[in-house]
Amino acid sequence: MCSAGVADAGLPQGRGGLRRLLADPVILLAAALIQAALLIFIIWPLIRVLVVSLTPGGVLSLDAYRDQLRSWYVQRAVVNSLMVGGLTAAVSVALGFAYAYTLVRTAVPLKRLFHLLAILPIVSPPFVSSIAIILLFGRGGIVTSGLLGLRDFNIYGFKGLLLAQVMTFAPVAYLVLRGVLEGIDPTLEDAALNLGARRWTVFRRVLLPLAVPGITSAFLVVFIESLADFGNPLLLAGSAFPVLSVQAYLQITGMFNLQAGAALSVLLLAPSVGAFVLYRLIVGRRRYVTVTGKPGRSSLKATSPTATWLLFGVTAATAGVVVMFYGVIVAGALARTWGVDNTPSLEALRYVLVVGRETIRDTLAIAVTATPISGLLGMTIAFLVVRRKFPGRGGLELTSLLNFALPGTVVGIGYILAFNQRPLLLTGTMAILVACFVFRYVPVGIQAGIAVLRQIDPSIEEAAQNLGASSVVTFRRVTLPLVRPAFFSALVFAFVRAMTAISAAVFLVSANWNLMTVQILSEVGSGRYNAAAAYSLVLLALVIVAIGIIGLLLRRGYSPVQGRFL
Amino acid sequence: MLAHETPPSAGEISLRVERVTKVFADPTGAPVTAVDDVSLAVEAGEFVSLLGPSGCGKTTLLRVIAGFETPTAGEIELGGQRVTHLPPDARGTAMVFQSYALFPHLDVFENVAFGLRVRGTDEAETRQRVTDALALVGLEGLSRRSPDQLSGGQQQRVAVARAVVTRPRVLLLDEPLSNLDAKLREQMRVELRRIQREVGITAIYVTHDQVEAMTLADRIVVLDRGRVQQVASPAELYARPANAFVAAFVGKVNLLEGRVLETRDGACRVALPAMEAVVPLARPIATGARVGVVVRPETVHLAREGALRGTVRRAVYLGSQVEYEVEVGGTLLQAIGRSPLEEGIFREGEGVGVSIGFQVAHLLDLEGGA
Repeated sequence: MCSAGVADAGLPQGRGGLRRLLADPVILLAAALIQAALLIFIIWPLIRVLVVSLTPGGVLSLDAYRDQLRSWYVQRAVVNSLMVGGLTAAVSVALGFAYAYTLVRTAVPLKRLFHLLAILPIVSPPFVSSIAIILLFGRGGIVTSGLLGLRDFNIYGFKGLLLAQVMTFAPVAYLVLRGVLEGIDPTLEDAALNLGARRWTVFRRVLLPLAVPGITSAFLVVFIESLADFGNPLLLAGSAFPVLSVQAYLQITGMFNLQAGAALSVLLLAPSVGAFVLYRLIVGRRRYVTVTGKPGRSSLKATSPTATWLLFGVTAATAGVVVMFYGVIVAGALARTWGVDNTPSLEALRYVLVVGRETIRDTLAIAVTATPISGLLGMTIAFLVVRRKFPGRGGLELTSLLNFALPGTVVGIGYILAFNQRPLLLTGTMAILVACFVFRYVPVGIQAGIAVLRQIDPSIEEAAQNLGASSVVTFRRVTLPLVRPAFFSALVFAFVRAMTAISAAVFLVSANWNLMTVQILSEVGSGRYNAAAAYSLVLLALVIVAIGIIGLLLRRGYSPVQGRFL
Repeated sequence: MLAHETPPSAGEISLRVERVTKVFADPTGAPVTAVDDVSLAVEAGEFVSLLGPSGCGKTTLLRVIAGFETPTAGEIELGGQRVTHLPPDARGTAMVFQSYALFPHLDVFENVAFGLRVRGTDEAETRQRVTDALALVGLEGLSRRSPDQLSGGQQQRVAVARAVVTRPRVLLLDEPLSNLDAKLREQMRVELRRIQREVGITAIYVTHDQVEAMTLADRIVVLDRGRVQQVASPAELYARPANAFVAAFVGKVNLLEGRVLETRDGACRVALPAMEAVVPLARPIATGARVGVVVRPETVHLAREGALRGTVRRAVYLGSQVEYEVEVGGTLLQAIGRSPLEEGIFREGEGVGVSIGFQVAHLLDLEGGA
């Protein structure tokens, strides 16, 4: 899976090559600094988790794992995590495919609206669905206790969690699959129709085989995300349905058992990394597919009217659920006391803006700091990987990508283990949160940057150098403007994630630096659903405004998340 | 800031390539010698073309001069300064790329101004020089267009303006006309030569098209498999190619192999398969040596009558001329029939009289290498 496959033509340059490398010390220095940073902030925490979990009592052994796996509760957690991950991925991909197919390949109304509704969960904190589900179907839920008058309906556990995760991650599958479908030339379907194939045959024999790699990678991406998900299971799984990410968290924050937490997080790590390796193998094979995306040329004849309206029904129903979820969040934020007195009130919003002011400020400060660093770092790494030769180039790309496969829980535990003593004493600071977000979300920028750079003729940058611009000036005045679309995606993604992330951050917040997401979870924990909904609403508003601002800063039209997740 | 913004005076050596070798690794890691021990000196104001088939190392040599590749061995001097290990941005060369490599995010004016801006040239001077450069290439009105609103020929002109505006020590052109259609190519050829003369700039022009090299260059460097085959003026190259490769690559050729029978008075008698020929001799050659006689098709004349008889095997009508293949005693010769409107056309299979201009032919020693 090492993507350094691009032959290092660096070969016997001997003294000349070294001299040239030294003639451009900026590149060498940048590469060295970035490699050092990746080692410290990605590899080192990972090593710490492994070491701590493998050395209970100071000696090398598997006892920590043996102890954990002996417990039936942990066994259940392993099975539950994998089962929910697999099911969530399967359902999300099916739903995402239908949604994407409808929007890309059929002529139905409201496409733009459907697209925006699919984007909404992506820019929200990952557990907003859970809050909506609790507001709708929980003990005081408007559907269960309000409409149906049910007293003992229990949404907590497997079915609630599955619903929450599908609503959270199906949009991710949709974006991946939308890209896949847009990349398949519709004239192929026209050709098949023209050769006499019936519509269903065309779908089965032409479109589906072409989409299989994309479908598989969408499945794996959602599987990884679902395994790593922390917020939804914490809110909805309940104690009868343990999952690994929550158990690891409880071991550490509840029992102060770092070893057990580390061991559980490694159990979570293994399937994630496995899925990631598979993903890279699949994606690696079709890396250079350029999406031409010529709308209007696409054939809309390949789907029968019946199928079209069936698909439209599925899409509209899914979109309807999204509307209902966000509607109930708004309603919850504006209700006096949810489930008891649903008359409108600004009480919850006022509470959030007054009591939560510090938290909002902290969250914004951290996101605003992490976003440009992550964006620039991503573009720099992409540039170095695609355009420069230096020792350790392959490792650089690999390390930065690896972080995507690491569940947030592993990263969070790794950070508290790695940065709790001098000289790397960062726990309790803003820096640890910023570092976590920067390095966790930089892979998206790197991948977007690499994809764009590979499509840009390298002679454009050579021309700049040839005209007298140094490496740094070339990067700033030519490369960066050229990769602007990738830069935009990277910035938006970094900001959205810094605002909405929870699974790693929950380990890293402190009295001085708290995050809105952590606060939302604690409001739910205390049963203050109105406050949780109001926080979510404020958070969502901030994210949408920020995307607009980033778009303006880069003088580029508003166009939410470009659908590149890795 | 570069010190050499004024064109150096004529006669001075502007570019010196000294025994440059460049070895790459092919995808399997095996070394491939792209440029093999090449030396070259280019005078200020000279227009030199690097000519050769694809893969001959001409573009690699250009990139070594520009500093995009570091030579495995050898040195590069620009304006008397050794620059072998200077990065591209400190060399003061300016390159016109095959793909033009215009900055898509900058308009025409800013593209041309780029080299001046990174040097910190002040605004008034930048404005003046960019305006002059755009006037030089005939693009006065288009300075606020973006590159993708320009035709191929206009993009080409912007690339040239962007290169010359910095007053480089040498202008490097990498097959700049290969993306243009035939008509435009011809027009740009004339244009490029005019601009180069007007600015008085030293130019190195890489091409695989011998017509381009012949019409543009003061001197042509023919490269094959990384090695210099010959350095000469276009006329010299055509009349007296150094070896069979150059003879065949530059123009069309009949290369007749034979042996020297005797030499006398600056000429020699050569036994060829179907005939004997008397060919002028540039250098002394041993009797009995194996030689090649270079006969250009336009020096082979066909007529109704003639002592030497042949048969037309192929006739290709091109309007202004006819290309023939004529068989003489088992040897196929290429010939050109001038002005078919006046002289008529011989048909395939027709018997003709053939006269060969051996008095302007060139002798290649096939034993001594060159």
